Amino acid sequence: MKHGSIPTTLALTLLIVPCALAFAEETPKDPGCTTCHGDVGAARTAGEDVHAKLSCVDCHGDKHGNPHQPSSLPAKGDVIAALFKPFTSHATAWAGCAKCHANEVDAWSKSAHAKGVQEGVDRPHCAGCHGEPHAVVKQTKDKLKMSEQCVACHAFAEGRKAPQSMAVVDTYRETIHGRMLHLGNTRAPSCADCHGGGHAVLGASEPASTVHMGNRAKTCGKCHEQSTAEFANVISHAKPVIDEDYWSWLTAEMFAILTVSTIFLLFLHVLLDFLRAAQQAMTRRREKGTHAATHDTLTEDTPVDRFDIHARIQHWGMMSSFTTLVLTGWPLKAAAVGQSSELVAAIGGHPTLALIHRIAGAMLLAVSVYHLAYLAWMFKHKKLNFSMVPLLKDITDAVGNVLFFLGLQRERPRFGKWTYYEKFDYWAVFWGMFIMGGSGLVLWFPVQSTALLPAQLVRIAQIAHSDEALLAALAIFLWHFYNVHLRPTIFPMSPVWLTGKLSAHALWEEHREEYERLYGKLPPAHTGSDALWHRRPIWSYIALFLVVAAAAAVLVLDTSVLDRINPEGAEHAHSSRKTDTKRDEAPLAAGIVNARAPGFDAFARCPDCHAKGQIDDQVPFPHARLSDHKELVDKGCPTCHQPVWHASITASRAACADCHDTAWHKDKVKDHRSCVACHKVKPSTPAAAPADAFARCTGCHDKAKVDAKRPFPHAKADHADITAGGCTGCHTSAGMAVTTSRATCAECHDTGWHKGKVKDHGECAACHGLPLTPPASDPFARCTGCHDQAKMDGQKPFPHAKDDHKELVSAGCAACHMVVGQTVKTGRAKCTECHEASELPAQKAWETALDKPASGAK
Amino acid sequence: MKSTHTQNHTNRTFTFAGGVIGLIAYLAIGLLPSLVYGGYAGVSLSVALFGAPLDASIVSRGIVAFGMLVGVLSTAGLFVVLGAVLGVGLATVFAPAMKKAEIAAPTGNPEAVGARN
Repeated sequence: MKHGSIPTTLALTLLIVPCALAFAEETPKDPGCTTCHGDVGAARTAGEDVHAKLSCVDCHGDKHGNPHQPSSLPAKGDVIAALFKPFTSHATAWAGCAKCHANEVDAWSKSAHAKGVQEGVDRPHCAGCHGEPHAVVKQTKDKLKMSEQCVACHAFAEGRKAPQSMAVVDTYRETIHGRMLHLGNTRAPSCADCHGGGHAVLGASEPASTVHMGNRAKTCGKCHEQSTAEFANVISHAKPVIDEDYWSWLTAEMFAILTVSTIFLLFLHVLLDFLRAAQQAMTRRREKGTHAATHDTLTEDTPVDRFDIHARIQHWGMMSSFTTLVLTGWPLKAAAVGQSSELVAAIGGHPTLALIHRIAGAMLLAVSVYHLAYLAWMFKHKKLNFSMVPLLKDITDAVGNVLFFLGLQRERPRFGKWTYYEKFDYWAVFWGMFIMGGSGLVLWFPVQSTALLPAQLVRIAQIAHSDEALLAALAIFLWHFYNVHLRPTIFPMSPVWLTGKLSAHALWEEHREEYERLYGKLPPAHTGSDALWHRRPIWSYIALFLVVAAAAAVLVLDTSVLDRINPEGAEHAHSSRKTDTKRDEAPLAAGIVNARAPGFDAFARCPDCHAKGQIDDQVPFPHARLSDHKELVDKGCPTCHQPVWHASITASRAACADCHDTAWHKDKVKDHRSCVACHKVKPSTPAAAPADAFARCTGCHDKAKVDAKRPFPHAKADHADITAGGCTGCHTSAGMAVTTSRATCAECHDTGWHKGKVKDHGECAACHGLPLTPPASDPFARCTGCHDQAKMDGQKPFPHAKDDHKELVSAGCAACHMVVGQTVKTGRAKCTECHEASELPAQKAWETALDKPASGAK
Repeated sequence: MKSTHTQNHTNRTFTFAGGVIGLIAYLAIGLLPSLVYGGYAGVSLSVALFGAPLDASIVSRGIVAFGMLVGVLSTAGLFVVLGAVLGVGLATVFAPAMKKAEIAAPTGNPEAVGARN
């Protein structure tokens, strides 16, 4: 070797060895498995499998043994293997998870999910949440994404795996926790935080469950210090329903009705006022000069005191705190809107938003206290004149004002110091101050509140705070802002909230009675400006007609409203409202009915995202079955696919039930996703094409598993030609139902005996699926499935109870009772093997002896 | 009297300008969010009234559409009022300076006074 080659060799070694090691580490260890299982190996290397460094045999059995027949299972692995065995032929591979994740597997094996698996229902196991087993992705730390794993099963009314309905997810999203999570608050609990950390999820009725009534306080205490049982019971994402929580339900309903009706009336008032005021402004501009001198003697700049400094400070405080509260509270209420999280992030995150909201809330409370103290001080010094108290005159003023808007009254009502809409503003804020302040404190100090107040009141406070905020915000920004800022005669604002003073002209315009009280009655010439207002308000008529016509059309055309008017419809609507969890039991609830209403533009919205032709190609059934479903398909997507919320479109199982009898499926197909899961293949084709003979069934039923679980008659050699023809060779469809094979068996076998003897006969395989020769370990195996051995001994004591027959009896039923063809004979013939026929009683007596009780037997 | 009139005029001009700027700002950044949030408020109210999942009924749609309309009007009102308040603030800052300039103009520029005479 040349001297110069040593450094070169060293350099090459330094380069190659790490590369080789790195390559060796990156490549899944493969003891030759990919020779046959190349697709699995490719899946592991192509994806971001966190287990890429593991060898195949690490999961698939004993490292030193045969991976196809593992000799041992890891700790806890036997539990998994046993649970998974009915579902997969790779049960031992899943047991491999327990080698490294024993605690998680142990927790899961006690969970509601494992219980479901044990009961034969498809429930999430490792892959259900962690992804495809050969491409397990790194678990996200994002709580929102983590919760989406739960949502995948618990959200959808149709096609869901979980027993709970979509209400579980939707109501969680509406809770303060769900909203905080959507806004990116990492402290907000997601599903796993309360429900057993993900693996140990248990139903709330289980005593060990973290959300069991007895454990909730401890669970809530993880975040809420000094959590009590009372507090924990308030926290729930159950939607208030009339039967379970009447007062909460009533509060939510009342606020919804109050908000819609109030805002609609305020909007109508604003609209009519605006049109009348605009007409006034235009008329004055046209007739400028005619009436310009009207107010000359009023000295427009003469200030009239309206608000003292205390009232103005209160208004400024209220204005700034209220606006801040709305701006910081609304993103939380509308957390489901995507822009909310962006808005909150721009502010500095939800904790910052919550801090600002609480500071503003404290400011609002301080202003409220200030106002109450101010009123008390005024009262004490006899300065409180109670001018803000609503009077009967306010109602007549309101009616008169509306008549004036419509040109049905010559003059505006002569308002006193405060108009009816100013009083409305004041008392709306006064009532809101107590509701918002009180409920805000409850939300701010939830644990302490539940110690002081009934749980019912706390739940109501949660609803009231959110709903009253919406009502107050809309009322202030629409109604108050219009009256004091945006009205054409005032725009851009009245300065009274800044200076506390109003010009005499403005007082004369708005508070004629108050002006006359202060300055005396005006001479007749000064009332001339009212003529400006006495023109026919054509635009007001048109606007009123349009609004009323639109509202009437909505009410008349909507079938759900008509349904609600008649008792039957009301009951129907009521049931659909209060029982979200039973949504699929009422498939024709209002949603689908309305989607099918005449004139509904069937394809108006769906093609935005879904190309119809593409759907037909991808999901051929029943879209492609144009012969018998063409009419339905042409009616449009909502005919079968019910839009539920905006997040999901449910599959069409409910719609199928309109025409097809799906009752059979409820009992037989427990975890039935949708009809098209099986029926996507045309029913007429599989029998004709051997390659597809099992196509419709193997989507849900693993053929190998069926053969292994039910060996008879699948495994019988003399039935091979029948089983090779596909499932439908024996398992026939009657309408939408798949019958078991008894009828088919009768085509070849005489089953007449069974009709008389086997009354509650499920299917042939119940008895005949067992080995024809009972195993030595259980000589009664074939009989005790239907016949209780102990009971039989008691009822038919002879010869079962005779000591000298004990040996025979213990040999099993078949020792005496013979199967002849398809029938089971009693043992007289067998008796003659030991006894002379003459020793035996006559046939009739023999049968009677069998029926005698034990005491009379010989 | 004249200075008071000028100050009032200045205040009104600034306030009006602020309101217009608020309206422009609303159209630029507030219109679409107010439509979305107003619609969401409508959906929330409809859900409270008719239950979830929400029916695609005309009443529900009407409430959602009305929510969008109210959302637009109320948010526009908020922007305009905030703009107007900002205008008042600016007027308060600049009005004294403008008042000084107006008072100084007749005495500080004799040529202009002479020309007017």
